[in-house]
Amino acid sequence: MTPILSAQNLHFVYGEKTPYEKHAVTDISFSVMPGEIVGIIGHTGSGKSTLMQLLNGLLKPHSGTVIVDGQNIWQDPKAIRQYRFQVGLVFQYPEYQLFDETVEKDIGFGPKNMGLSEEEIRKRVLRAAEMVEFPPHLLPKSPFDLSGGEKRRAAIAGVIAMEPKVLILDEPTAGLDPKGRQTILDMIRAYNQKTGAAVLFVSHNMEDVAALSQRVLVLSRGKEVLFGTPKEVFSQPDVLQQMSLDVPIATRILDALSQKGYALQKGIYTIPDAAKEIVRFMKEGDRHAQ
Amino acid sequence: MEPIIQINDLEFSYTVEEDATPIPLFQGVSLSIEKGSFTAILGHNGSGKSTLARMLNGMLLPDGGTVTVNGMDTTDQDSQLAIRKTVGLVFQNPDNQIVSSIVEEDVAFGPENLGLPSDEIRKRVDHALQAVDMLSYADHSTNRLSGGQKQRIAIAGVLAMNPSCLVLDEPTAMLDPKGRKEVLDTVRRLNREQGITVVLITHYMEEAALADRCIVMEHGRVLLDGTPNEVFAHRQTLEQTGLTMPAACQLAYELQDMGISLEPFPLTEADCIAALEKTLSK
Amino acid sequence: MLNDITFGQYYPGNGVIHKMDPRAKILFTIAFIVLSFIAGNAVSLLLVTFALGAVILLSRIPLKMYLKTLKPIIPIIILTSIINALYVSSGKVLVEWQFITITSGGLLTAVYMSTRIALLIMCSSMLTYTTTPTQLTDAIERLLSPLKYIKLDVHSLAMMMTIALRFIPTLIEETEKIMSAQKARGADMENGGLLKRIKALIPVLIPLLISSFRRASELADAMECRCYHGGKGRTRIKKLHMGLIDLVSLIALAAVFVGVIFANACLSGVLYSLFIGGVL
Repeated sequence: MTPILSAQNLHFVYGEKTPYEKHAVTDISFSVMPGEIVGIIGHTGSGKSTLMQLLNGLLKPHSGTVIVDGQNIWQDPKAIRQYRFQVGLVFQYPEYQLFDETVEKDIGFGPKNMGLSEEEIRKRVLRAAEMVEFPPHLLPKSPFDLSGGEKRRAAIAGVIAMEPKVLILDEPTAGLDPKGRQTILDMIRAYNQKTGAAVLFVSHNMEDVAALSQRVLVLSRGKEVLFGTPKEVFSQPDVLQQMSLDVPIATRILDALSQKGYALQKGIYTIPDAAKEIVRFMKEGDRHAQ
Repeated sequence: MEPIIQINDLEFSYTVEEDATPIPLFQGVSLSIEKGSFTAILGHNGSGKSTLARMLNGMLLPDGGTVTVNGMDTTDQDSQLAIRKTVGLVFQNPDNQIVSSIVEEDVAFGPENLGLPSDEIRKRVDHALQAVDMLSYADHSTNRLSGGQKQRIAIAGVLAMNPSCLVLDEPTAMLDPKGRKEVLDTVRRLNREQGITVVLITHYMEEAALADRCIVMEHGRVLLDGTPNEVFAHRQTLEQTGLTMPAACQLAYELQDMGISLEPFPLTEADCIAALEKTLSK
Repeated sequence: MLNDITFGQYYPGNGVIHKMDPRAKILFTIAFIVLSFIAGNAVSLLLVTFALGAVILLSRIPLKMYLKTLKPIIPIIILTSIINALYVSSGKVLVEWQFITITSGGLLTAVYMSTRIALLIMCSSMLTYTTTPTQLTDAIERLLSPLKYIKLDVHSLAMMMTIALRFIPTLIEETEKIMSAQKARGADMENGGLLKRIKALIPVLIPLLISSFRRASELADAMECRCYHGGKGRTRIKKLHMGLIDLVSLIALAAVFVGVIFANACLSGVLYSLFIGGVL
């Protein structure tokens, strides 16, 4: 299978040749397969936001290439806009970018910029609204009259309506209450399963990353530190903690017990799995532990 | 213990649009917050948490019932400044509560409004910055700080008025894990070391587990009220309202379902590790 | 990009200039700018330049920081120089080519004018580098306070300035973010005619406006919670008082003033002929 999105040796520098020069992204390479969910973690200033904007051509790398569906996106700089439709980017707090008179028009902003017909726009708006479980009767309303959670979903629908091959979300659950967080996470999973689009999402919440992603990319100071399955990444808690990054609490608890001499398995990152491992250990002792 | 804030039969309605019929939110809520306590208030958006916070210092006034702070009724115009000085409010977005471009000048804003003499303001500003561990940033620009630092400055700005109670409305919602920890550590320290009463409104169950008392609100009613242990024992009620539980509790419940019970029932990660160790060593 | 604006930037420090009364600093800055425009010949202009040099030295802020502020106005300096050089005709004719005539007087005026603009910029950066925005607005509030007799709410005006200075960087950052977000949805802000570009700004301006209103209302709440109730009975952390430093600088300023007047009056003729005659 060929990757749907791949970054090759990306470099990006802010304020080049000024006293404020900052290497935001240094030599990052990775590939995302179609239909894959990739979690991106790293603390504030690790280069996550820059990386995301490089992937959909909002920023141009100083060196390196971004390949979307086999095409180098900077092959023809004039055609860069079309890659923004293929790699949809949802910024942090996207509800602050709503602007149109009605929710319907706002969600249709992207498709309209793509130059689609009225009929096709309408179809896509309805599909996107359904995907984020946005109640259709609210579509003719002003986006500013919605509740916080509804606004967030409407804003995400605005990107989904472009039907991108890759969807990137920057902290999609930030600032929401537990119910709102869960809705968004379920929605991301459902979108990925229904459309087969690849999803990349940035999160500070390790539990969310552990629950959702097939692979995890760990960034620190603009560099790629780890890239692998959650099991591979979370079985190295010391590497993550060195970069003052969190590890899922299940991993932390089992790790602490391992250090006290209980031979529990490494690389467990969800609460149910942790419970199962503890029960197994109590039944079997450390006979089968690795 | 003596209450610092007393709420009796609170009633409050709000209107979404002008001329529309008011929607009742609180219909007879009674609560008291004890001096020196650390209370966490949990609940969904729209459960009335933030409205309640704004009633505690008279930013919003009750339609019925009373809210008193140290015996002062919040509806009494003459006590307004005294009440706001006693109960300091910190909001969610640190950017939107910083008035000045320089750290120490922002922290001085409150005491300046109280009309204190310059040397007293200076003392209070230094003291407040010290309390949030930001003294070395006194002459820095507020724009270049991290989210956690900005929120600590906002807390210092309230502390400089020498409040006896701090009400924080989701102060960590917009922060990264590092900032969240900075703010939470600061708040806990202020409660423990300076005896400041804390009311923390939050979505994070891990934060609530650190309080002396948890109040869960739903649709303007107090659904659960008790120590974190008591509140998180109501597993079903919490799951029904869609509120999660601290991860340590989740693990303990998961194990309970499989026939292993942890003693004592853990709320925090450290407790959970200790309890597991006890169980495993048997 | 937009973030490069250094407007109103404070440079923390502890030098004598930092300690001066901001009111005195504002008045001196104005006086200084006036002086540099009064200075009519090389000697008096040099005197003003030296005086500013001394102040820069005293401010203990790297010279590099001052030179940086000159960078964005280089085009303006070049433009005014060219205009001056071309249109002022006095003294000897140096170059004559088709309709272009450059005279020694024109060249001199161009040099003077460029120096004055540079002095003006460096002098105002000195003010903003050494004075916090709050001190500045505070000083303006005091200086304008007589205006309250004509029913002008000077306090609110000063408060608005403080808040504006505080929120400019925040709003610039927000504008950039909204622009990127709309571009990510295919908004095209770089191409097309004027009308199309103006229309393309709507998806940026509306969220920005709404967000500003939200910020304003949250800030108003936060200010009220911190016992703000207008300017009445409000005290300040830094009391303003004119001290010894301000007196000394007043004397120094007066000396420069006298020097400039003297140089202007007595030396202008002598020097002019010397310079023109000597060089050419």
